[in-house]
Amino acid sequence: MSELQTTAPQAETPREEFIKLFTRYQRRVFLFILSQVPNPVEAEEIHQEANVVIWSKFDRFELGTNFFAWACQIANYEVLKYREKRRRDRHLFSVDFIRQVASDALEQADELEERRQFLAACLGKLRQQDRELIQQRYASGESGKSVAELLGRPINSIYQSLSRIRRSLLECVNRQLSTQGTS
Amino acid sequence: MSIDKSQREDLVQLLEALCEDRLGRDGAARLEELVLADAAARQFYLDYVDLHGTLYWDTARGVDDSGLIEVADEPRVAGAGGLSGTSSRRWGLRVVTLATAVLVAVGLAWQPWRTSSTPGIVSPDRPPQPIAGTGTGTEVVAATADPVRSVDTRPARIQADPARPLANKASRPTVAEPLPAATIVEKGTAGSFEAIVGFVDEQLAASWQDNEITASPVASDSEWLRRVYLDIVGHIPPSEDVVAFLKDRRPGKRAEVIDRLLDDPDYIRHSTTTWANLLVGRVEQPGVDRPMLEKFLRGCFARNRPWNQVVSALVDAEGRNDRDGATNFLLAHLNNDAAPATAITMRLFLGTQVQCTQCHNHPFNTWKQQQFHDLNVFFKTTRSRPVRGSDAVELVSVPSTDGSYYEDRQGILHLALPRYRGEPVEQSELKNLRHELARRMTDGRDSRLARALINRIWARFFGHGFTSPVDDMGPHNPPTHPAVLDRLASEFTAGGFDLKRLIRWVCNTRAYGLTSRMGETNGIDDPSSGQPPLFSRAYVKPMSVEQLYDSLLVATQADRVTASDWESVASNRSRWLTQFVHPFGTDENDETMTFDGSITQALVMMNGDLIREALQLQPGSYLHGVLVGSDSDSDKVKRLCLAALGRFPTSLEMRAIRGMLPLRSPSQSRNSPTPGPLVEGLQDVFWAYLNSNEFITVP
Repeated sequence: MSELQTTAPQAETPREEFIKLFTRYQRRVFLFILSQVPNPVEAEEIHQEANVVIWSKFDRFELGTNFFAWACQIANYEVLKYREKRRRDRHLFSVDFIRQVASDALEQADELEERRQFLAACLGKLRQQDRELIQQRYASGESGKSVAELLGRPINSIYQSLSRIRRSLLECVNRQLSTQGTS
Repeated sequence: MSIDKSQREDLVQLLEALCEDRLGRDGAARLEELVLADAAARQFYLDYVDLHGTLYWDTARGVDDSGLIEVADEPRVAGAGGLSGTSSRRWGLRVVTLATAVLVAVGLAWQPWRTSSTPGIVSPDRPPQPIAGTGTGTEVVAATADPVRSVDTRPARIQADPARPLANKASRPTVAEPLPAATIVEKGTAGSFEAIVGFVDEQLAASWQDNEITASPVASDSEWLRRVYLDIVGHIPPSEDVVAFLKDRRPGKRAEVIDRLLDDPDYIRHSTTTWANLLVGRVEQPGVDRPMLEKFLRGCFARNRPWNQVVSALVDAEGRNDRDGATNFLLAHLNNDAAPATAITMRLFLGTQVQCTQCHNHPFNTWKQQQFHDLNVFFKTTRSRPVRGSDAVELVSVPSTDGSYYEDRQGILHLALPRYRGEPVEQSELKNLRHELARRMTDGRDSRLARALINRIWARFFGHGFTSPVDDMGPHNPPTHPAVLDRLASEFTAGGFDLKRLIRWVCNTRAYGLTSRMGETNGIDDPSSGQPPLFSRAYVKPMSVEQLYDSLLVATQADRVTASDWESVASNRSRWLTQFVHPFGTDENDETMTFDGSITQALVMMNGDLIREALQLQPGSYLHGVLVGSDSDSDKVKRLCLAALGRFPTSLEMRAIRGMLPLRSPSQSRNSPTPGPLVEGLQDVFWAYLNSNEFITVP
């Protein structure tokens, strides 16, 4: 607790307010990074870096302005920096691509967020075995390959199942959106 | 905006490989090429990768830390930051089809082929269905500004965020906590605001329980604000009021808005219009000075004159119609031996239908032909007389004989005497019969005066009254919630017939703050299908023609372009309104509106001058202000939606628009002039919003 703040007990200190914003936008910032670096593990790494920078710039953020946009600017910079640092690794995407996608992702942040809210419902509608497969696939540190080994199923059949499930989830979200919108 | 099938298949293959980390260099290059070439492909990419990421984030971190989160009081990312988007790809322009596409997304106003499930055409006798989603459906604002709903739909991380429970409570409408029945003040005494509103809430909640339904959730702020504006001041909220209201996090903000609107000059205007229409109709009639009647009503509503005095002044009016506006009410109904005057006075002020008893006893209630004629005597001595040397007319009472005769259906003559509720009038009171009638109607002993008004006000705010029709009350047509009606009537009478207080009670009830959408269990609460209303949700109402006109002006600021002074604003308004009204010429001086959802309305909306002018790019109009502003393109779309519908665009609409319009990225569009095709496109977007179902209904 900061000792500087001696105002009314309920009033939030800027720091508390910042912590709230910071916590609240964790997932959205992560997903923003992932749009440019689609490997979740790498994206998490960049997210950690970005979090450090966001924290260090705490006093430069003006409360009341758009926290998410501000954080995304930092995150985008970290994506490009990460790419630079790993120059010798193969790069999946060009800088142009990353910039364009970042711009789109920020522009459509609200719509994407709305879709995410429907995803939970769609997961609930999956068949039991499909839901379990998704949980296994996305459990910490797993990949399609490791799930195939775990289940003793041919890798291609796992890829096919995952593909089918992801597509149906995407369809389901689209459907939910459009029934909410026009029915 | 869609990508074709084979392209989509390619994308899915590549994206699947990407998700499983087996996309090689070539694959990446191919994906990059596809995605950069086409906006729709980019959208698909983002949706897919986002799905992948969300699954990862939510699952890898376990369910309780699911990040299935928040949004409670999260501000919208309106500006979408200052990233440097560098690609300068040319987007295909398909502006022509845009309007159609957006209309499909927001719901078309004129859809004769789909009247069954959507409120396409709102027929006057069949109130529209709840807007199941024409816009309030996927309302983004609902999700962001309505914590109650977002808590309903997902597990909130309450422990993780101590502010959340508070925020929840804060957004509840500020309805008083229901009080236990024992503490309710005794019937008939002037109870406190909390006690009265609490009683109504309790009674309604009990009726929900009896019917085994759960009320709909609380309305989102934008839905509620639009409703309360249209109901109290007769037009939609200006967009800056919407934004201010959405930002406001104080718990009492809804009650505050109600108070503020009741003090707004437009409350006076809207009440005046509503009552002038009821009293003399919209059609101009010779010998009726409507502007003077409106002036009289304005005075009443401005001073919040007690309702019994207003009625008394109207029934007891005497003199020139260009001096005392109140005389115009009766002057409009003196034809046909003043039978219409008798009928409308009983119907409007006492909620009693007597018109058919002019010729025969009422088939369903205890009203007898005799009673009609006894009442009619009160008006029979009233005459309209031209004033020499002027266009004015005078309302005078001629000396009364002490009765008149009428013929029953067997051809037998009966004597009719001035009698009110069976009580004869004394000899000394015969001089001014209407004065006696007014006194008896309004001295507080006839509870019908209060009950009729409460029923009407309730219907004006909720879309349905306690009885249907709203002005046919009596033992033959029992009210749906007698205890509520009784209580409000006795409080209203005891408190001095205070109209604003009554409206404050109604608007602060819990029921008024609910959404108009059906919940999971209250599907039976559907008065439009003939069920008695349970008020477990708000009902969608069609806008009146005046509400529509005034709302169009609020949304487009067209009046700032076309008219320079108040006079021409007023005459433009009445000219626009009259094209919908046609007199019926019946005995009851009925008229018909070709407005409520008819083809005339649709065509006037779609092709009429008003809309055309509103969409012109002249300085002063709202559209012009938006187009020359320095917002990003998608913010411009958001501002247009906000102005028309009082909410932010849904993602479905944004997508439809994005697929048709070359919206530029924020960094490209900020501070640079809007290119021609985009201007036309944004015009079309605004047109589509203004012609949507959502625009012409009160949510």
